[in-house]
Amino acid sequence: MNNNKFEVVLHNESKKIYNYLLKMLRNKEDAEDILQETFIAFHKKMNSVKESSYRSYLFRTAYNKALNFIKKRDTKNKLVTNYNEMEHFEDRPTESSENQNELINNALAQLKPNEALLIELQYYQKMSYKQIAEVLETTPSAVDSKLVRAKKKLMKIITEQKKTQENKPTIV
Amino acid sequence: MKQKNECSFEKKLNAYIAGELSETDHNEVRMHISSCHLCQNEIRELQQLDGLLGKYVEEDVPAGLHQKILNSVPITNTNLFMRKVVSFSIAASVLISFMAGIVLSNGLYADNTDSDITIGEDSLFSYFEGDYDV
Repeated sequence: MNNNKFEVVLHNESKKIYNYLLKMLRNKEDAEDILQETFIAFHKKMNSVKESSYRSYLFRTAYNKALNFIKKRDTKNKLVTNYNEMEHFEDRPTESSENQNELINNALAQLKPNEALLIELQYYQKMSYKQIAEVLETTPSAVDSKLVRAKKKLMKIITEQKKTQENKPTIV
Repeated sequence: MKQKNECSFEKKLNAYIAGELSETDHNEVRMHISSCHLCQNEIRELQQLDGLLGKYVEEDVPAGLHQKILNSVPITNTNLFMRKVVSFSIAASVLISFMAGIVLSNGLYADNTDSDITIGEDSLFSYFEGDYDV
């Protein structure tokens, strides 16, 4: 393994991982930091990872690192919740937002991180059940049942979001 | 007992859409869907979800981040190996030069000392042979 190969993997995979992290973390700077950490970790292990598993390894690493980051961030936020409550609320996209990405991110953010990862891998990364199972270190049949549950939940969230938007009064 | 708004095929629909079923199962589900309104609705909802998620526009990795990552990773094995080879070559050259210098200077010194010894030996022999007056 050499730097050129690492550079190729970085070039080919970073956009996918970055966009996944954006959906998960909903913050560009945090996504950049975790992306960097993910590739540094990958660089250390790349000699022991099969080439066919690079993407699985990267997603699993990104997921674990982002999850740890979220836990720390949530703990930190809890300490200042009362103070910042209004600011956080204002940060949420409003009904008038035309940003589809934000709407999708909002819906995905309400799923559990592992459910959001399942959706990411199937919808955006077009991975097969077998490939997803490799990332999550589980079986394809478990992937199927978890995906079914995650999609049901996501559809429910989206329906509720739409209802909330419809019921929200318009400010003239 | 299943409720009226549930269908035993429902759990297979996700795998059906994803193309994860065997050919036999796929055909079986396809035949079923054509006559089951519940599954038809479910498929429609899944397709709507597909459509919504498909509207996500991927963002590019910020400029300079690739380079930042490349700068932050340690030198790779190949480069490290090459560096070691170059370092070793330089060290070996210096050592060889140094050794050559020693050998060469020893050679010169040896000539001188030989002559000295010869002189000494001569002197010694001369001494024992009584060439020298003590």
